[in-house]
Amino acid sequence: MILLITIDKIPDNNYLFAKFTPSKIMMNRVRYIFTLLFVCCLYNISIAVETDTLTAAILSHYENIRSLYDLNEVSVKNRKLSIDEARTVSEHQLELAQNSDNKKALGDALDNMGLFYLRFNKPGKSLEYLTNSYMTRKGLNDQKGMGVAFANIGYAYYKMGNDDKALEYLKASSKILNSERFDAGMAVVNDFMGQVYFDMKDYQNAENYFNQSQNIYHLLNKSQQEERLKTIANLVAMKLNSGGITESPSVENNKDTLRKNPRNSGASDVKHKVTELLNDSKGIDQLGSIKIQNLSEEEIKAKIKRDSLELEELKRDHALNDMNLTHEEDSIKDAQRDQQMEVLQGKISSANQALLQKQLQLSKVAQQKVWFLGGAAIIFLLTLFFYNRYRLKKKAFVQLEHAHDELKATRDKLLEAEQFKDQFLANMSHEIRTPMNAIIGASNLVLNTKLDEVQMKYMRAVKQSSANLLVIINDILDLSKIKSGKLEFEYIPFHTKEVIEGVITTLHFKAEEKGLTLTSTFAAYVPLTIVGDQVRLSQVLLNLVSNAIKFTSKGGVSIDCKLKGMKDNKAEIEFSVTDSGIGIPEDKFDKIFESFSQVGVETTRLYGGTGLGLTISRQLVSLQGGTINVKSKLGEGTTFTATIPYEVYSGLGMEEEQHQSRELGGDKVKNIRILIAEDNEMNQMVVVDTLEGLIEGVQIDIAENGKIAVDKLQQKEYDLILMDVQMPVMNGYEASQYIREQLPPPLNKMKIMAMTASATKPEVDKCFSSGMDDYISKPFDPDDLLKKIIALINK
Amino acid sequence: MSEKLTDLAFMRGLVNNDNAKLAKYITMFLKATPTMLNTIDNAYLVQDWETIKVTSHSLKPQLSYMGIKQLEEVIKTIEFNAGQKMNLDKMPELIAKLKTDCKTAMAELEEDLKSLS
Repeated sequence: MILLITIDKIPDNNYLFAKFTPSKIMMNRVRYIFTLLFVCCLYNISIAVETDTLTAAILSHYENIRSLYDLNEVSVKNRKLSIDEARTVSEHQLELAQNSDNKKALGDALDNMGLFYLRFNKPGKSLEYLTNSYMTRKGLNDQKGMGVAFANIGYAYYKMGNDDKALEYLKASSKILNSERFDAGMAVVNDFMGQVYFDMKDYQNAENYFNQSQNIYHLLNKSQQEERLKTIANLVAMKLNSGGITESPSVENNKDTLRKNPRNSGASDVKHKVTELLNDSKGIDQLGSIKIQNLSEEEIKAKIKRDSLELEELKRDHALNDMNLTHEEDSIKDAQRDQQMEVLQGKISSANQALLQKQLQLSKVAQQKVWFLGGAAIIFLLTLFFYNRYRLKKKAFVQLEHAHDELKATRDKLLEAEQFKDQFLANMSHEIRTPMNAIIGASNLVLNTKLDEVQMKYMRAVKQSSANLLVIINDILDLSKIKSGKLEFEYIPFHTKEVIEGVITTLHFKAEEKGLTLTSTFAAYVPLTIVGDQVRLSQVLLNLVSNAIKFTSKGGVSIDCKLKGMKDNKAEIEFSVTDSGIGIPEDKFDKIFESFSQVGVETTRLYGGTGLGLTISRQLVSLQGGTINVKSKLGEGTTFTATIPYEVYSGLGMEEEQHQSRELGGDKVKNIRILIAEDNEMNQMVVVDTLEGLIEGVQIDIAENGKIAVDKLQQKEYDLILMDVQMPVMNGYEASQYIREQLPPPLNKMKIMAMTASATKPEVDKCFSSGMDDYISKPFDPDDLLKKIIALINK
Repeated sequence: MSEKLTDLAFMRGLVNNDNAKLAKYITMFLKATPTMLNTIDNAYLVQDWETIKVTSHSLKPQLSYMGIKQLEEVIKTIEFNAGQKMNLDKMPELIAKLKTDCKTAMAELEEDLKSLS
């Protein structure tokens, strides 16, 4: 939890992060690591405490178990235990005793082990334990124990066949136990001594010691032992007698004992009997006797011998155990011990179970500890890994952002530089233009003074060059304005035709100088007044026309204005500039519109110029939503066509435009009466429609030919006759001539305007000569028509 | 032949985009033109140059109204030649051209008329 909170605290704010210094980051990392380690330590301590408690509990259990064993050393020695049980218990007891500080218990345990091996006929092994027992007891200065140990050692030597050594130890034991007044011990030692002497065939001494043992048992009120030893002593006495030794008084008793046991009644061999008695009845088990049946005669004999030896051994062991029992707890009865033993065994097993459980628990805790430590380590490593990743990512992001910023800065700088360049050009152009105007003005003034031919020539050169320079500067200024997006277009109404007329006025002298014609056509129904930037349109046309003049040496240049169509309430007006000049190769069509580029280096050398004119023209046209195209044939001529959409003035379309025209002069002729002499139905209609649109309240009559027209003229009053030239019956010339010559005044003064489909010079001349006042060519321009009508009416 | 012979921009301007009026003009043209062409044809058969001159003169503005630029020069030449009685050997060719193009133009205008109604 702490870990997670700590990680959450890592600043995720980019700005903050960017401000982090490396040392701060390091500090933070160290802090996180320590926090983590601290948490781990706390947990470890708690586990350690728990483990210690558990260990203590287990140790105390061990203590309990050990004390249980201490209390019951006696029961361990109990003969009722099976061989395996006896060995297990003895070994366990020894192990516990070795691990404890209880030296007395250790001595007892060693004794037990010694006796255990004695019992199973391993006197050598037994001797090791018994010697250790003696040394342990000697260290405790336990006289009684030392005596018991000597007795056992002696018996062990006896079992090994070393009777001298056996006697030596038994005598030493007898001496110690006697001085300690340990009667039970003395009984056993005397019994042992008897056996040793018997083995040495010193029957006299044997009988003595058996009798002494018997007497002590008698005193100790141990009748079973007393009875056994009494029989042995009697038998030894009989042996003594048969071997020439005087009969002892105890022989009679022995005879009685033998009589009581019918199994032994027929036995004549005393020694055999004694051995049998010494081995005691319990020595031979059933299994052993069964096994004997399956063996060979030889083996059976050997087995019998071995079994008899074992019997003897067990017998002695029995005696020894008795001595030990007496040594530990004289007053406790065998039965009680058995009972206690059972209870204690139960306690031991339950304690063992508890111990096992505790051990299991401990191992579980230890496992948990390992898991936790492993988990903590993994979490720590993962955290470190993710944190590092996060940090690297952040770092990369910061770097990227930095690079981005740099690029942005560079771009801004470049844009700034570009802007600065344009600004510089604009400023410079402006600054140069002002003195340039002064130069041109002054040149003009000088040219108006009296100059000789040479001076005049030079001054014209000055004026011309200045003018050229001014054009270049203006071009540069325009280009920089366009590039910087500072060029703004005006949005005011202007007369389309005036622009074209202005261009012609400006350039017709230039054309004339080169012997070129400069003409214009203005198609019918091109809106007369449009809304936009007049100056920029003039600029484009001046550019195109002056270019055309420049590259044309014979023939002429014409400007043609047409209405291409209506689109989105805007009139698309087409301005074409056609020349009969050198032409442009088709593959250069695109190039000529690029800045500072001309068709070729040759061109620049021959014709001069900056190569900006067309670039600017195209930019100006496209900025107004139009297009500029070129068509050319080398050596034949070129046509540049600029198509620009213009809003028709007032935004109400053609009608409004016509209304505008009427306002310009329509008022002056309203309600006039017009007679149209026209045979062609369609032409009639066109004229009627046009006039009705132009003049308010106009009254129109139609005559299909000249004759009818003359007739109508005499019947009704008219202000004007629009006379078609070509008519059946009487054509326009004839009719006009008739009116002028044959009709009385004021009818002969009738105002007549010719309408002709072919305004050729001979035809126009013919019109005038027949007496007509003016003419208009078909199809006519409404504005032209109106102008002419007004002029004629007001004449 | 992908480009149209006729161009109604002028007429549209004249009628101020009044479709009904435009249709009226087209109908008028479609009615008058075959008669005129027939007149020229017949006149040529009898070598009546004066009639050819007059008729072509009348036809000339009509063709202009319908924006048939391709025929402007043709009709002008027919009128001029007939008036001057010169280059008469070229007249069959010119008249044939006039008739062919007029036929195409009229077909176009018939289509336009359909779209207007």
